[in-house]
Amino acid sequence: MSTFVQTNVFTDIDCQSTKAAALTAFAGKISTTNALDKSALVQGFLAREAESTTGFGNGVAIPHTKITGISEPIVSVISFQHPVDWTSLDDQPVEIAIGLVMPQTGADQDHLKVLSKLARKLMDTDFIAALQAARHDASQLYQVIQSNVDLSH
Amino acid sequence: MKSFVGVTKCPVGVAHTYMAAEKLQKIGEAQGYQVKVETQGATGVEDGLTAADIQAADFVIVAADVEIDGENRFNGKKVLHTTTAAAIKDAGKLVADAQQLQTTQTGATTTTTTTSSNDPQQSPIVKQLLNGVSHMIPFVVVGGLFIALSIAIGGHPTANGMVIPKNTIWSAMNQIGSIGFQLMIPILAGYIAYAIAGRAALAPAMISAMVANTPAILGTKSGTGFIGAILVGFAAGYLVKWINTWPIPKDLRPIMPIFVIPLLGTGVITAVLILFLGAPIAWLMTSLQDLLTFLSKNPSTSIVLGLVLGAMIGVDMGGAVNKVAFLFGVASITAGHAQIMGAVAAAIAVPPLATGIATFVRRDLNTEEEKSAGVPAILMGLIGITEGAIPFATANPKHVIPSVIIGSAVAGAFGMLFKITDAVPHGGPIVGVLGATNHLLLYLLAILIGVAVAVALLTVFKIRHAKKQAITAK
Repeated sequence: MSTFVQTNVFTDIDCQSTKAAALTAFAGKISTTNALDKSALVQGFLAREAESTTGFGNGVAIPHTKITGISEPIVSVISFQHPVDWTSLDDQPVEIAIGLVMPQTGADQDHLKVLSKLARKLMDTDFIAALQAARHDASQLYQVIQSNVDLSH
Repeated sequence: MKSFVGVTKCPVGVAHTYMAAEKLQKIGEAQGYQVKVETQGATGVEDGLTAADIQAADFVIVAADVEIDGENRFNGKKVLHTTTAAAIKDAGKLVADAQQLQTTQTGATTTTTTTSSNDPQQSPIVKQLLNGVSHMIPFVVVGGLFIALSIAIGGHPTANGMVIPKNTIWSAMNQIGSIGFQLMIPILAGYIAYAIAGRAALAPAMISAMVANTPAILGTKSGTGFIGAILVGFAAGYLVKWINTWPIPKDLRPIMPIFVIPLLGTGVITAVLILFLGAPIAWLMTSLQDLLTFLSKNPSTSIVLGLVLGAMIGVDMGGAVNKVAFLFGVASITAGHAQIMGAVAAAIAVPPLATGIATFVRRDLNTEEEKSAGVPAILMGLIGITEGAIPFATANPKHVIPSVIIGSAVAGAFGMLFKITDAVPHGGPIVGVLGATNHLLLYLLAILIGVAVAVALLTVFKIRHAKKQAITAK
């Protein structure tokens, strides 16, 4: 499955260091690469952030939303040139965001399970350190995730 | 080993649910806990907590941003409620806070498991048994009252028993009641097993209990009734609990509770029932029948025969031993010795009447469940449905079974002494009222004496038990 491909990894993106700006930039990248409706994506991300922050600490956030028009989830990774104020759980700014875009309905159980494995992996500090070390290089970043989480289901 | 369980749930159910679960797991294990965290995410419930998991846990951490499913499972436990964010941010603090909890969750809905857990001295086995009993009682009440009412109004005493004309409303009611009685057996076994090992144990216990009560499969003339159901419930529960301790690769775990455990559990328990229980039961029934035949041949032992018949009626209330005595009485009618059926008919009424009436003696010492089961039991007793006593006998076998055996035996012996005959293969005061016995008043007297003895015994046990508890409470 094409849940995670390297074309969905974006490094050192230059944008304003607010959460809204960062999410808008991220949504722009994802929607262009995957032919999705950008404004729906932005709204979805922001709505989820409004419920509670997805910045879970150590400079990483996991914005996510559901959207119509796709049948498989999309995993995308972005790193920011300027750390973003994400109102994270540990109050630290965010350098890396892992975006999860899921089908509005009818998501395949196996795909969702893969995403839950990725979420669990984010609690591993070694994995986070490896992400941080690779954040300026798209192929390295892709490799770190691919080798740590089996996304090939 | 110290342990805790948790549940996590977030609005979307893909990220925070699992991050929080992972964090609790890691921190808990690092602190030497055995940890199991149920995730309620977009893929449904994973790592679902069993009743056994919850029971073993020192405390519960619910890290959820929306209401979780199955909150009342934790009634009676120490529960810490928090958000997924708090668990992700500082799970260590949550574990420390949860350790400090003093009060247990009561829950708004009173389930039977919590009412019975009021008694701190209660062993797990008694709790598990009571879980089965409390789920079974409604089935006994509906089944018993439907049957009782249909016989009382629509039944005619004949040589084939109390016959209800077909295609009448009473016939339908009688059959509905019978379904209630049939279901009582698997429900009892199923919910004993459920209390031990959770949902996965339900199918093996319920199916196996039906097998244990189906003579055609067992190769006997009778099923094992409620006693068999209790044994099956515990066997299935502990078997599944043990299977749950097997080291299973994580990928196979999801199919365990819905596929592997039910198949394996049902297979093992039913095989054991058929191979090891069928033959002994058949042998027991034949031996008892031989004993009764021997006793009935000699007129001087007729009172002993009455005692034995009565006792057998009271032993398992509808199970194999009861059935032998009942069928022996039925056979005696056609053989021209209707006084044997008279003794049986008197004994049949004693267990439900005595257990029901006993709830009105020192009523303050009875549980709520006993009080509510009291009147239905009396009604069933009047109509000659011994099964009415089963909820009492199951909940408190040590006191109830000896009391009703002795009471039934006494009623049987007096039935013989008074030379009561009963021409209808059915028991209880109703057959006397409908004119099937040769002497109504003496028949009722025999029943009354038996009931009085049983009620006295039940009351003595009850008061002694209450005193003992008062002492240990001090």
